[in-house]
Amino acid sequence: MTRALSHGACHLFYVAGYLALALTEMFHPALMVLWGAVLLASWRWRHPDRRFAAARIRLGFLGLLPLAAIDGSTSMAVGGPDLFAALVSWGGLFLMLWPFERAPHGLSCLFTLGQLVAAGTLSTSIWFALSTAAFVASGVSMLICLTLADGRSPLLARHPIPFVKIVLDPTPVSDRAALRGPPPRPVRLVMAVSMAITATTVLLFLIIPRYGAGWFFSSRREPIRRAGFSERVTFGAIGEMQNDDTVVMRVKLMERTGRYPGYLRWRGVGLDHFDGRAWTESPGREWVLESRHRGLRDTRYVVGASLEPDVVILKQRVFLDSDLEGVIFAAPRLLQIWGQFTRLVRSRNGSVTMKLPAFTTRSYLVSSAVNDPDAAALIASEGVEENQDMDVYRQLPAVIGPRVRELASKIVGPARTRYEKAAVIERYLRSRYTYQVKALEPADPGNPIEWFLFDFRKGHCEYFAGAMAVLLRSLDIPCRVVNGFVQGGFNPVGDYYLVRANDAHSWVEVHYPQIGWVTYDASPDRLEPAPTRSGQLARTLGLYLDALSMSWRLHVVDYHLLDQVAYVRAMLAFLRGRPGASPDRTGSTSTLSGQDVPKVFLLICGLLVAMSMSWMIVRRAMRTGPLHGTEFPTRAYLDMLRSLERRGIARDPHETPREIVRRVRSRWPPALQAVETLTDWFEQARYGGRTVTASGRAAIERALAELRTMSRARDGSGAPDPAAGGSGRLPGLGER
Amino acid sequence: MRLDCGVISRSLESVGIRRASGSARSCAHGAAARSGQGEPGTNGSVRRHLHTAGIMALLALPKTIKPTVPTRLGTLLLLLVLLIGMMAIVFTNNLFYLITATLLAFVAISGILAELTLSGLTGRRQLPGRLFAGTPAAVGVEIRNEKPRASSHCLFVRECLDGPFGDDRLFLQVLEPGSSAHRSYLLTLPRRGRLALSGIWVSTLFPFGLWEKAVLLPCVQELIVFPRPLVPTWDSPLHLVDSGATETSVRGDGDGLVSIRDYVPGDASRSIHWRSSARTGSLKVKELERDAQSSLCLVLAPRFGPALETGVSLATGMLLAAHEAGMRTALLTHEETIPMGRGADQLHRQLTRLALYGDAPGDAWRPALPPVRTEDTHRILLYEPRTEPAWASRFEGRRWPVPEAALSHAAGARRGLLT
Repeated sequence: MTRALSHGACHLFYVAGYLALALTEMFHPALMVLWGAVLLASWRWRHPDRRFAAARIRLGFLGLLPLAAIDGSTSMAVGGPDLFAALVSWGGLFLMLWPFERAPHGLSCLFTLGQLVAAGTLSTSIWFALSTAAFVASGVSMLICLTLADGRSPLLARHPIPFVKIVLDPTPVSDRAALRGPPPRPVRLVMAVSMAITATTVLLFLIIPRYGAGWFFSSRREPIRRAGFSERVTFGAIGEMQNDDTVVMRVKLMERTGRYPGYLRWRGVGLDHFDGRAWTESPGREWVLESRHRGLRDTRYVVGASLEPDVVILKQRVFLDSDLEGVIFAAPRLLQIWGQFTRLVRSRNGSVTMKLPAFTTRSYLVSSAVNDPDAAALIASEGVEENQDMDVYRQLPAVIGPRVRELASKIVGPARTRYEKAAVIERYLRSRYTYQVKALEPADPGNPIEWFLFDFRKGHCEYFAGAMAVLLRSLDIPCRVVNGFVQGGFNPVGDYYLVRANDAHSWVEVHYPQIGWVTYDASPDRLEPAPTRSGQLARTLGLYLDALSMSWRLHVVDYHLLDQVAYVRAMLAFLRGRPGASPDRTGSTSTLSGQDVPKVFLLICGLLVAMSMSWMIVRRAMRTGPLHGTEFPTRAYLDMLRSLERRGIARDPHETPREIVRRVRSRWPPALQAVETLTDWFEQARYGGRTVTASGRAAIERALAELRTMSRARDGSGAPDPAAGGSGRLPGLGER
Repeated sequence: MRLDCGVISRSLESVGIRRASGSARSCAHGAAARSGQGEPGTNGSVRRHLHTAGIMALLALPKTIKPTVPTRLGTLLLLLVLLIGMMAIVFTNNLFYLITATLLAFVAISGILAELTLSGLTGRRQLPGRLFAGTPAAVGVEIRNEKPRASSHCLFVRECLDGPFGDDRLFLQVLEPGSSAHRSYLLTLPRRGRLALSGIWVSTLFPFGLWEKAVLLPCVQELIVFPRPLVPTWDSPLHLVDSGATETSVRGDGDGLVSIRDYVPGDASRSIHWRSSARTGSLKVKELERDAQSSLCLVLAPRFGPALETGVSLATGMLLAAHEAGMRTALLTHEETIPMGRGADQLHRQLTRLALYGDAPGDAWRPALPPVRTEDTHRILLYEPRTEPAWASRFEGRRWPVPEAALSHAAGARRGLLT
């Protein structure tokens, strides 16, 4: 271990801090290049084996000042985590180019930790796991190097000055040679300790009680809803999202595995008023959802109820990934919501929105009644009088001319019931019009629906939904437009639906008396290009990566107290012999079910195995490295003496190696050959300075192994003859 | 539930609860439990015992924890754990919990590896024959790593008097499995008297330098620390006991030549002076003087006040000088009289007496002085002027008041005895 190694290890630690910042993808590449340059410069110019490059370092320090001023002013304007990240990144750079010979390594380490914290505030991606792993490995290597190479580094010092009072050294020559042996194997030691720390980190992370005070949430602004899911949606908002393939949310179906047999949609906002160019949610009555606390569970909000006898309840855990804040997305006919919300409000159109941001995490559990009512029930409901004011759902703007009504009448033809009319219009639009993702500016911006229906006849889902709603309303059928997402791609690896921004969709809900709102989707199916073989491979790989990312989100980012409780309950149930019994599935957002208990055990067993393995490797790595030159025969000779000592042939302090050999000849003849070999090598190495060769090394190891085997033999074979005499004393100070 | 009474007793004893005579009842309970016919409260009693044993074990746990102090980095780490933990609660950010868990893992693994490094170490100390207070003495130490596989790193060695984290005396970079390190250091003991060295402190910063953890390697040694020998700069009585300063005509087997005479039968052949015999042609023998037989009788007056340590130190210095000069010495104190004698054993007895010399009142004591045989016998009385005994004025010999100036020479020596 040298100071150069410690220097390198310190810089490796600094690299880990900047790697954490870089992996947040929030910094400009030019800034990352600057980080790399400063790290390299600091490593070279402050290298302990070279002359301190004072002039260059001072120049670099001064050169950083204007850059920091420019970037700092930008960050100050943004504030919050960005300002903190800028502070720790620039602070670390300045410390690395500190214009004095003595570098403030302690402060630099503090800033590195600050960089990891800043990365945690800027991003929750799975790359943070990589950053943490790099932090652990580099931190372990730095601290071990500092401790072993420089046990009295100021960073580690409790006493200011080394104070070693060695006045003489009566160490026997042989022991001194052993003491001066090579250092432990740092790479293996670092790897093993890093493994142990990682396993311990996982264990501690799982068991540290989660408590979120959320003291700063009450002062936060009201969430800004994304375009397309706000209270007013102009034509084209959803279409714009369809060109974006970023992941916006993931939905995991609870209490079932695999793909849902039907087609799912994730309903967002319902819009009832159409002014010819945009759909809006007309002001009306809103209901604040009452929260119900029941012990250690998420707060439950009741949205509605289903009176149908054979209702199919589907529970979904939704993980919002992008800036989809403010709206609860769920399968249509939402019944209940579990989550940590500040306040939830339900509008007349069935939209559930957050008036303040979510309290802890951006995930929640919802239950919906997903089965569609059968046609007979819908037809039977025709004769029943509407039980609420449905005029808002029959509203049409003045720009909609009579030809729309004519077209509607022409489409429905002889159909009489609401059910038949809606079905015919849906089928008509799906078959006669073309789906086109690319949004075009309508020739008549004031009346895009008529332009779509009569002129262009192509468009995306907003046009289809809007056209169907207008056609239905022209026939006096109450309906509304709904914006949300289609189910997205199913990831069989992670068993969840992956919803991207381009899965945004608009559809129509038609009201039936006593039954409620029924979904209709007039948009034709999108034609997806068939994937190539390489594309298939990339897709499969992407599924695995995304499943990993989802797992990170599920078990790290969104892991909370309820998960901990569920884990404990599931474990207890498993230990009581009822592994199938879920701990509490009705009231917790935890994704853990009874079937997952073996996975939990597997995880714990894996952690224990990892810790045991790392422990074994640590113990092996704490041995010293391979011996070279003259040291190996000396070590072997010492081992030989210990073996002889175990068999009662202890070396007297005055005895020479040859005298011991003579004693072995008389007292333990079977061991004579091995002892002679080892003594020969010891004398040649110790007094002749002979370096051991590979063949010599093998001979020494063979002799030593033979001696050990004989020494540990329980049957007494080859045991020394007590009658031959010999003291039982141990050598020198080592005598017992 | 069947429980063995013996097992319970052993578990209780292991945590410091011995079974008293009145505990036969609990054994009877245990026997009843074994037979399965215990009274209804039997298991409850056993549980209570186990409960008590558990509590006692918990109370005894801190005693098994090795002394540990954080380094600057360790203190910083603890503060950071608290800070980031608070941030995790305030911001409800699980990644902060992850960082907290990582830092705590560093702490935990550091403790485990430090424990591994310190386990399996044994220590041994070699003390010199004489240890004087306030005088550095070389002490040999052997630290041995008994572990079969793992080596120990970054070891700081301290004396038990230094405490677990005092100034360290030795540093061992690495101690391989099964090997031992022999080192020595200078030990300065502050006071005279009886002293028990309980063990050797070994501490380590390995692996991360976050904590310094120490273990006391048992190595109990009892020793007597002799007083600090004081050689005063003022008018010393030691010139009187310098054998080289006085000559004698008494024949003997010494080194000094007295005369050369003719050989007479019976003279030892080794006494023949060959050079004179060759020159004169007749056998001549050399007559040697007798070895210096001067003696010192040192009287230490009782009731020393503040100058006690100075007086004891002066006495030690005089006795050592007299011993080196080959004089016969006697020490008279109100606690013990050591008659005239010479040799290492005599010196050891006298130094031991001085090491354990107390300040007990000895007003009634009168020294029984040995008779003066030759003019070489010196009598010296050491006393403190303020508490001079009445018989001191009639003392036949040199009266030596311990002056105030000499107190500064013994400033390091504290009053009183150890242990």
